[in-house]
Amino acid sequence: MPQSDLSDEDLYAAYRGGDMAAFDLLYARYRQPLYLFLLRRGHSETVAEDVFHDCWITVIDKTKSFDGENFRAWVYSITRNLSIDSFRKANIRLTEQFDEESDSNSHLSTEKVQQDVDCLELVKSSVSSLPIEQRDVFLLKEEAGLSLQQIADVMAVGRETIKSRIRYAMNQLKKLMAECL
Amino acid sequence: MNDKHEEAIRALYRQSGTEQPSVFVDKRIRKAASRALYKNTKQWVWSLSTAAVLVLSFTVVLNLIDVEPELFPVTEQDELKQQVLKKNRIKSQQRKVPSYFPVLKSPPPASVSME
Repeated sequence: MPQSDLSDEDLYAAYRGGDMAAFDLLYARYRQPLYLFLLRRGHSETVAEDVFHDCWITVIDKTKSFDGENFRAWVYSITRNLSIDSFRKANIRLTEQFDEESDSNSHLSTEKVQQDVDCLELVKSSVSSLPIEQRDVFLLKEEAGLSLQQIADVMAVGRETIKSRIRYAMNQLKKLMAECL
Repeated sequence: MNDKHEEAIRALYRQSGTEQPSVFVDKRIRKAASRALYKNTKQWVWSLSTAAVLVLSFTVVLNLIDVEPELFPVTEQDELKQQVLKKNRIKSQQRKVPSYFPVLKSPPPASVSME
């Protein structure tokens, strides 16, 4: 079986066994998605690169903290935690009040976002304008490709909460991107 | 309709991601990964080679003592030490049976009751 067909878990095990080529392959798989996850989470390019670097250093050094089950969920969990720490260090208030019943996202400047003509730019700015909990769920689903249960595990909340956050995020994006749909 | 819109949003989102980390960061990460591997391998090789050298030296010395005992001559001091050790051993054996305990050469008479 060629190495490129191996699962992430097998590649990581191979790297731990001394195979540098396995690491290169694993890095190539996650390089862009992890970086984009950080950018879309709201970091500047410089900070995103720092957090990205720290994330990989954790993957390299903390080999024993991986339970061997799901590399993807593990690596995104590390990245998200490091990102939260980075925001905390910079004293940026990350957690916004989230009221699922009221769907009160009136603070979003819909008009401003909709001024963007380019739909690709619009989708970026729309995702960035989502409340952080909804943004995280959207990114972990669309960027990371995690299942609902995996997202629930990464974010330490219930599966139903994740489902409703995805629904709210999608509704909000539909509103913000109306002109592109 | 909703699903169609959601699919359109997903498609746009997928197309929007073009940013990449710099080559400099790639190099730093790759270097760290390779260094960590080298460090682990180095530790493992060091432990194994140290153990191997110890076992080998011990075996060689033991074989030399058996095959060529003249390489390890017994000095006068060693002989003296051996004599002292021998004397001590005899003394300690003698101490085990104190002289003031009478040694019974024949069983006690039958008339003596055990009451």
